Amino acid sequence: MSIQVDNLHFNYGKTTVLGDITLQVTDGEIVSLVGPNGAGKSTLLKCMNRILKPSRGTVRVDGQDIRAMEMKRMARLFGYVPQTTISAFPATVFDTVLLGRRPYVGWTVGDEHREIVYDMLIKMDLDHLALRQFNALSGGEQQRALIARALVQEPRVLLLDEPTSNLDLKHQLEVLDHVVDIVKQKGVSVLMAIHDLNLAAQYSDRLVFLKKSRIVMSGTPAETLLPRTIRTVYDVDAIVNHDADHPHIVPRRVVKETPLQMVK
Amino acid sequence: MLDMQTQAKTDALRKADARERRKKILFPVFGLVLLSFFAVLAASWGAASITTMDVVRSVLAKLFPFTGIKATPLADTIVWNLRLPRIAMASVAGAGFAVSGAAMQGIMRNPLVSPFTIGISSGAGFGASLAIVLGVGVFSGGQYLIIGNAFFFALLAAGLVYGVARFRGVTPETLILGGIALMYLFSASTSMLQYLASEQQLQGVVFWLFGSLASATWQSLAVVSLVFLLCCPLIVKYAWDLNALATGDEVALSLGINAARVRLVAMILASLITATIICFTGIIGFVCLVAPHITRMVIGSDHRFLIPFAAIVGALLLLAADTAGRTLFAPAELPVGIVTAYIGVPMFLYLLITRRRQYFQ
Repeated sequence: MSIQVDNLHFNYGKTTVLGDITLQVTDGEIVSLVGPNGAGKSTLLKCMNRILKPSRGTVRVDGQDIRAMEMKRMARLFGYVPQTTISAFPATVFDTVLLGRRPYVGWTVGDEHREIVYDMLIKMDLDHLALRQFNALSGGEQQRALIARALVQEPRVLLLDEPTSNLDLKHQLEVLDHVVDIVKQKGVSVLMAIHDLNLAAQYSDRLVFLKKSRIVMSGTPAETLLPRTIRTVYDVDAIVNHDADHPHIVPRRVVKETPLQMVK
Repeated sequence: MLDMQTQAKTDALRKADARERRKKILFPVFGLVLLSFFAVLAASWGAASITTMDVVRSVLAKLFPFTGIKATPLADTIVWNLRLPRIAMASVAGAGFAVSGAAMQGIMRNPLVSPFTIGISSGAGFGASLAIVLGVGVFSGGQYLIIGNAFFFALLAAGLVYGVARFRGVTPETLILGGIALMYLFSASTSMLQYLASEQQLQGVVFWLFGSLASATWQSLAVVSLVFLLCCPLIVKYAWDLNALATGDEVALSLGINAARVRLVAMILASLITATIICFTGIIGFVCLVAPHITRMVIGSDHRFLIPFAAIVGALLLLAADTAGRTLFAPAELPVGIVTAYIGVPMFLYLLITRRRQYFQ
């Protein structure tokens, strides 16, 4: 399933949060949105499935404009994993994940839907925690439960907002490995906002750099992850090593802000 | 080998899931049995003494006349004219409070709110005081003056809160803060009326604000039951959406749920139920706050099961409080609003202290 975003703008009052965004995600591709805080990564994610309504521009899924789509259909196409989740009331992991079947079920939940949830719990290594309270889980487990919830929506596109931000090293890799496994297996496209450039390089087919509401560069990690890019986007001097399977950056120091036009 | 492991895991999940589901059905059934049992007991307790058997005979005689069971006229009068309307009102009102409380907590994503948080009770209190002290009301006339006024101002308060919230986006925060502000306004206005009232009027206002089920009649019961039976199934119908709202509007939207609409509809239904009850009973607090929490502790927070079971728990709670208030110092009577607070507050504080981690982590 391919997504085509054209000339998308999002304003919050008079502030431009996103300006003139054009990008595409092809079938089964993992694309990471990277860039400094406040660049508009999360906002762009939320514009994909109309959690936020863009001020201008279109988002099309296989050629179809999402503005013409029913909410339920959209919920079957896009799975969204928020950055932080509060569960106001104690809910079990099972109930949390079951919620992902909402776009498919009526008031009662048939056995076939429960089986889908069982399978996903096992795949995400959560089955032993099924009846535990979601709020009592560790950060990594919570993140896996939320991803499981998005995946039982059987989406064609997975939107992840900082899936690794609260996790330790091992859990970062574990969560992303789980995602990549299932995503490759089911041919789901992924668009994720992520801070960690090395993780992004390791797991993504393509990186999209955002700065000050605009896309400044996009391409494969090898093409884009260069000292020049890091300097322009983050105002940071960095060394990039290419000896591993994917480029690896080592940040050195903050430098004076670079004017945007220097990138081109 | 790996497949066998997965199979074993799936079986374990199936079993655990089935057990949970059984629990969610069994507890409400058990609660319902307990409620009927307690209702019969409550009918036999009170200032005039009749035995439990008198009550059973009187109920059976009326419900199944063909069985030939006979009851004494005295028992009939006490049971059917005095105690049953009151017991039924306590049950329906308790159920209504609990359901609207659960719905409000769900849409506000906050375990500390109730319909009273959005000003319904203070609105009703002001409306009733207006009728009692100044004798003016939106519906002219007689016995319905207080009831009509209380109902109108209760809904007006809820409507105002929603209207105010619309300016800044209808989020739980705006609704709760708007509600609290309005609550102060109406409370101040009620105090003002009390200040102006004669001694007799003041007594009337204070008595109304305490809340009481003593004046329950079959007619008022019919009205309350009708509204409850119309609104409650609609709230239950939205149970899934309430589950989704509990995890945040963004997630709800991403699951295909129109969060704003669910919030509005659930708020209207909960307000309607609460306003209808308290215009007949006066302000009875804490059932709407505490009953949903007790229910969550027992069967979890899936609103599909939570709301029906909360209704039963609420009914039990209010019936227990009213029966205690009626019988402990008989023939003197404690207003039910006071007794529910005495039962509700310690229970609530207990929950707040012991359950804090789970709710607020």
